[in-house]
This record gives sequence, C-alpha cells and structure tokens, in this order.
Amino acid sequence: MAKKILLIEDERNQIILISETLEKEGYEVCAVSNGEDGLKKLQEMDFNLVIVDIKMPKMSGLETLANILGQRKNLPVIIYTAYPQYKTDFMSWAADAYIVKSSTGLEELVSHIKELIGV
Amino acid sequence: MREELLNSERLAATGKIATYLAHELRNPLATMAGFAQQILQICKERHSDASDAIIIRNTRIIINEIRRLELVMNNILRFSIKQPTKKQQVNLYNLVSELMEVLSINIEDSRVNLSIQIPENITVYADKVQLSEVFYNLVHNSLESISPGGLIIIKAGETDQDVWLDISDNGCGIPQDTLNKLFQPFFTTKARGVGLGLHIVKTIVEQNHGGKINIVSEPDRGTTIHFTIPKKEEDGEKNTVNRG
Repeated sequence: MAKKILLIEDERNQIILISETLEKEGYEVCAVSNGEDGLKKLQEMDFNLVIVDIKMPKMSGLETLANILGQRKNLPVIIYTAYPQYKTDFMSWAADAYIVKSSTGLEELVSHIKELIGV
Repeated sequence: MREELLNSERLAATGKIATYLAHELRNPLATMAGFAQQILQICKERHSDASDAIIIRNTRIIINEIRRLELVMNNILRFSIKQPTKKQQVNLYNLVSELMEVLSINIEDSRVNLSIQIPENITVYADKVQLSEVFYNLVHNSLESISPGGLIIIKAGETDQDVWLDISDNGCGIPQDTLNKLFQPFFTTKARGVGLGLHIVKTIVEQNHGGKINIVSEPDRGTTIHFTIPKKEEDGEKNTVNRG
C-alpha cells in the first residue's frame, strides 16, 4: 500500500510538479493550497509525512507546522520553501528537514522523504 | 536634494530587493528546472501520443514561469536603474493585441475571458517598452485577483488632449482602506510579490508621460485602473531620463 504524503503548497505549478514526481516514486499525494486546509485534511485522513511551504495565504508554513506538531507530534514534516532565511527560525528546527527550492531541490526532497519514511 | 532622497531610497530598497529576488526568482526557476527535467525524462521514454500531450503542457508551464520571471526582473530593473524615456507614436490597438498574444497562455491557463475594446486608429505619444510594462503589470494583477470564468476588459478612448485607458476585472477587489497605499513601493495586498508593480506603473504614467492614474475598486466586485496619457509631446513631458 502506497505511503501517503500531505503537500501544503500554494503555487499551482509547484503542486503539479511535486505531486507528479512523488507519485512516480510510488507515493500517494494529497495537495492543499494553504495551512488551514492542511490542518483540516490531517484530521480527516492519516498521512505518513507532510511537506509544507512557508509563504502562503491565510496561515504561514511555520504556524501550520506548530499546529501540525500540536496534533501529531511524531509525524515527519519537511519544510520546502523559496526562503532560506527562515532556516534559523526556532520553529524551523522542529521540522525533520528544511529544503530550499532550487534546480536540485526536488531531488533533495525525494531523497529526504525516502530517508524518513522509505518507499 | 531630490536626487539624494532618491539615492537614499534606492539604498534602503537594496535589502528588500535582494529578498524579493531570492523568493520570486527562486520559485519559478525551481519549477522550470523541474519540468525541464521531466521533459527530458519523457523524451527518453517517448513512445506514444500521450507523451506528446504532456510535453506540450509542460512547455506551456515553462513559458508561463519564464514570463513571470521576466516581469519580476523588469520591475526590479526599472525601480533600481535610471532608464531614458524614448517616446514615439504608438498604435494602442496594435500594442495591446501583441501583448495579449504573448499573455494568451497565462489567460488561457487562468481560464478567464478577455475583452479588448480599443478603436484601431488610436495612437499615443509614448515609450513603447514602458507602456508595455504598464499593461503587463496591470493584466498580471487582474489575473491574480480573478477566479476562473471571470472577465478582464481593456478599453481605450480619446479626448482632444488625452488618450484614456481602463483595465477592469471582476476579481476579488481591494479594500477601501488600502487603496491610497497601492502606489507606494513595497506595499502589497497579495500573499506573494513585494509591491513594486503599481508603483512602477504610476511612475511611468505620471512622471515619465505626464499622465494621470487612479484606481476604483470594490471588494468582491472588482477593480478598474483608469489612466490617461497626453496625445502630444507638448501636452506631456519632453523625453526625459527618469526612474520608472
């Protein structure tokens, strides 16, 4: 049975790219475009891992992360963002990985997911 | 004194621009790189028509992202560097038609309708590149505020002295208490972007062309940007070197 990943990302093209890449790797991906919807989805379904962007409408990724860890302390979370500067933010330390979007970021993301939850 | 103030403003802006570049360029570049890699992969495995459809779709996405990158870069350059205003007679209908052809991918992907209501014979004495940037910024703003099925209308007309243009959308609108801040550099109501677009639009229209610009908006109803540009050089400013 495929492992389930919740993707919280507001850029439509990034959603397509990340979802297709992970599905090709054998994961099942559920994508939502903001933190509030992500938290709702977490209450409805079980996931093996969450990927969260930082700069999003309604609720920032760091606020979303704090809420996720409040609900599901042991759920692996990866921050995947265009902002390198939040890496030093205290809240970012709570994530299992902090990956900056770049031309090689997606490969790095897949590699971290495999490390954290296997295939 | 004015020059010193501008220099000081530029210096203060440098840090913000660096942040802007880091985010606004990194995201599309990462996306383009990712899809380009996908295309390469598909081409390697290519054996059916379905693969061709994916190649076409991905290429369209890449083009979209490149356009966005260009807009961001143009805005930063226009804000940061002095560029001369080179005016010429510009046929508005032809200019807008060409620009909308370039933006057609963005418009189709956003699934919005576009109506151009510009008489074919209207000309304006303007810097063509700067006027293009005005349209790019305003149409991009409309596309970001509008839902699928929405409508963008570009209208133009003329009086004895001026050419006027309206760009309207039936998007999410702008709250009244933020309307007077929209032309300030780095003010934005959007989740992404740093708020240079409308500042640059106003600079181009008013400082560089001697025109006027205003915004009428109502939350949940939509927004209209109205601007005028003098028809002849003597009605506006002479060719100048100016920011924006």
